[in-house]
Amino acid sequence: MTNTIDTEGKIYGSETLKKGFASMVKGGVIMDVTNAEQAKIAEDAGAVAVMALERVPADIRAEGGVARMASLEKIDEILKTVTIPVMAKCRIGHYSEARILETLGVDMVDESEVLTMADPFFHINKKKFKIPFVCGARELGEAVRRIFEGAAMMRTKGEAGTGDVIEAVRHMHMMNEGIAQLKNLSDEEMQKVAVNYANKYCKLTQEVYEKFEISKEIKEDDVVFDEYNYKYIKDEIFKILEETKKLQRLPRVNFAAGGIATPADAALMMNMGCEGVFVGSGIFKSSDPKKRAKAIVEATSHYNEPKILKEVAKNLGEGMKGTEASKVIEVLQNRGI
Amino acid sequence: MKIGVFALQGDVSEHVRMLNNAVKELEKNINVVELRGFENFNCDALIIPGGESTTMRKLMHDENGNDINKFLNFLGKISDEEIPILGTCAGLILLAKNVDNKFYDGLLDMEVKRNGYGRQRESFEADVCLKFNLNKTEKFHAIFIRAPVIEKVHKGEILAEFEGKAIAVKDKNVIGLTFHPELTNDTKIYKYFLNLI
Repeated sequence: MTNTIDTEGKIYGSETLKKGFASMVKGGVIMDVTNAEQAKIAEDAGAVAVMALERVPADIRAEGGVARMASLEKIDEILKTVTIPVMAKCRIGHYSEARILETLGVDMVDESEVLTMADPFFHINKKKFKIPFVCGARELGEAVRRIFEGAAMMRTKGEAGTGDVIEAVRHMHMMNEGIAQLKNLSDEEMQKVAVNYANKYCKLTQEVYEKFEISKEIKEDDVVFDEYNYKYIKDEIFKILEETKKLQRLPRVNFAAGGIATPADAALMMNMGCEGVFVGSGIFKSSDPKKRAKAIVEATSHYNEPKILKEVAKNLGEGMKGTEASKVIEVLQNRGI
Repeated sequence: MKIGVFALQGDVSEHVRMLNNAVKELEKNINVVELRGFENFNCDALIIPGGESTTMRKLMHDENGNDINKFLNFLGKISDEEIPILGTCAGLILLAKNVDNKFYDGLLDMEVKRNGYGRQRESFEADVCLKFNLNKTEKFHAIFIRAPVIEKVHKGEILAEFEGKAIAVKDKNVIGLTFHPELTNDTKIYKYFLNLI
């Protein structure tokens, strides 16, 4: 009844495995949770994963202070409570937080602008990790840079903690239009775009030159980010642009995030081409988290079926009060370009 | 002919892409469609994709709301009509009778442990051998993502094993895989599946 057993070497942490993980959460909702009890509610509602956090973005906004990776006891408690994947956020550029999260066993790291930035120049070189990363992007250039750095999944940044969907919509429009416009670019123009996108990695070197008070150009073989020289970065970014142009979509799974608070918000983002939704403060800052969580799960899957949407959007109680995104004092989306 | 891919959640487009590739290679006239529900089912084969099984269980709808048992009854009915069904990873979990010692009215009589290898950092790729018929084995590069482990197969044949555990099981026209052929470019398994129609 059985056949031969093949126990040849196993491969861990490959790009296929990282991207594959992102494929498995498509069509689902990833919910911010701050403790085991909330994680259980999220899982029971049908969340496809939870994001372990110390405070939801709305509270980070309200309370201020430095926002860091969540406490490890808290993440561990959540890891032990649910069987769905557990993600956690680390600060932009904070290799050590990411390494700790990887060692703890979280399934995906969100290198997130919702937390205070740790590095003013660079994001993490995510290729150095065995577990996959998700990163936010406001437009194509940010997405291409994050993909170059090894992000397995992308999301809009939106404006976290506001409950206002306008910024997520803006970012998705910018992404879609950016990708569509690639079709109208010649190879030469694409090269120029790749150079412009790559130049963001030169900020540190340029600042050092400024301090030298000499004028010096960055050369092709100058190492500007981690182990990569300027030419390599330009070439790799051009390749990602070419692939994006050909596919007419990002070569990574792309979710909506930042300001999604209702089932209708989730359906709106899905109709714009997002492949799933992150909900932060929207669930546990509402009057009936259980019901709202379930409704957002249904709306994300059945985004194109108005009859189901109408049913699930009923009797949800009060949504999070929120803040108009244009009125917020600290704009989180500007973190990390 | 028409093949349906259950499209409530998970890696649906990956299956659609691979099915279309296999159809092309076999030079068959088969349409691949995404299914949003199981009412008015009129396909000649069904694929349940990878994703989160707990989420998929909650999203099964008919006009009276969601109910996983109705979905399992539906699967029973179409398998009686000898319609081939393939489930990968989460799809296999939905087909199993015993999942983490909870019992379901599934089509494959086996004991399955969810995330049996561990978390994402324990996800892996490995070469395995497929045995589609008695005299021939074929190499396949299998991708396991937070994969379930089949602890025991009570009924059906084992099409592939890895480290002493079944990773591909077939009972009549129903196939369950713990890995993801949809994440590769190898159409072998799809061609085998399409030939069951």
